[in-house]
Amino acid sequence: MATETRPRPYVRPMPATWWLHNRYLFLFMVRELTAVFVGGYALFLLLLLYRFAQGPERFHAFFENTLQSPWVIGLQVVALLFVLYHTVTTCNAAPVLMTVWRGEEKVDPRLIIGANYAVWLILSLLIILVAI
Amino acid sequence: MAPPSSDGRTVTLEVFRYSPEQDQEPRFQTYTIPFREDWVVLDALNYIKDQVDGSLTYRWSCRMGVCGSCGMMVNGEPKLTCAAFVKHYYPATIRVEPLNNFPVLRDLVVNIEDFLHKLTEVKAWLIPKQEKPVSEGEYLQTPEQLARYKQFSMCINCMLCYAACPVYGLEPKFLGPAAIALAQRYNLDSRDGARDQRAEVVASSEGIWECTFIGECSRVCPKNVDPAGAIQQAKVSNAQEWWRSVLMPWGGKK
Repeated sequence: MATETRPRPYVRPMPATWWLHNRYLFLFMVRELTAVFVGGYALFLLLLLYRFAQGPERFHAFFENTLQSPWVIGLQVVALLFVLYHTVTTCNAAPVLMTVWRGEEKVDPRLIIGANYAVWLILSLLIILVAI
Repeated sequence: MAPPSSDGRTVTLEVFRYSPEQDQEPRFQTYTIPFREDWVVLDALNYIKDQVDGSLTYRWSCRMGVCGSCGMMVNGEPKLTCAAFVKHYYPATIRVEPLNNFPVLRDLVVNIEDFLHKLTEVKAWLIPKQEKPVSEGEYLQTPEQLARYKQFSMCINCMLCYAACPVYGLEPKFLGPAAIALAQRYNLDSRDGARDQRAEVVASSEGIWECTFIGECSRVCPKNVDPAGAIQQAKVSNAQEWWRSVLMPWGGKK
């Protein structure tokens, strides 16, 4: 059989602004980009631990000189907001990843989301209790 | 086709046109046609083709959301045009384009060969653990076993999920939502035994691990298949399997 010769199909370029197309894509991109802050905050916690291991005087100096600067406090507030956004979106996505079956029925996704929030709350309370 | 209403209302459609013999670039053609309360976008296209411009090319078949062939971009959203009511957009202009992320053959018709190839790559069919002769009867399954994969089996191959997926748009090698959901549909089937055969393609960097869980595929799916769920669940079970193979003696296999 002769090979079919077809006119070239038209390939539409994907615009660099694809993530501005709707609010879901935008929120996804916010999540991707703010992950930098979340990762950065994890490094910051490691730095805190490192300073802490250097003894009370060094830590106190670090606290006074660095941690109390408005820039660092501002960054921490921003990081807190982003971490909260990640926590909420992760908890809400949990039922997609965890499918729990009860016979022929899937367990209500709201129950799984609720359980995730409950674990988050309990762990946070435990940490606060230990800190106090 | 029933004659259009005579209340004088009209609706305007901006339709993507591309003729490979004549056009270097696609263009948009505007059609103003009578508005009818009960029309879907596909009815409007059929009206244009029958009454206004017979050269307009598009795919459709069942007109009842089952065949999966009338998928197009309607105002930038992938839709089955047989299920997208004109009145939901009226009085605004309705922009109709071919499904995103696919090469355009003509007007609203896209080349779907890539998707069909991926369906065969993932072996989206039942491969029993052990073939048995017909005389031994059916492969039985309980309702509970059916429930595990039923949602993923509702896929009608309409490819709206591919048109919605930015990952597929940026990396056409990505297996994509529907192919993975269908692979998962057979992996979860109690009668199937070809999970390992599919894993080479499905659990690769061009398979589930390419997905960044944007979730648009599940949002636009007209059949509630939830391909994003299928992919994330496949990630979880593949990761679990990997840990088992690393941590357990004899790779966790008896």
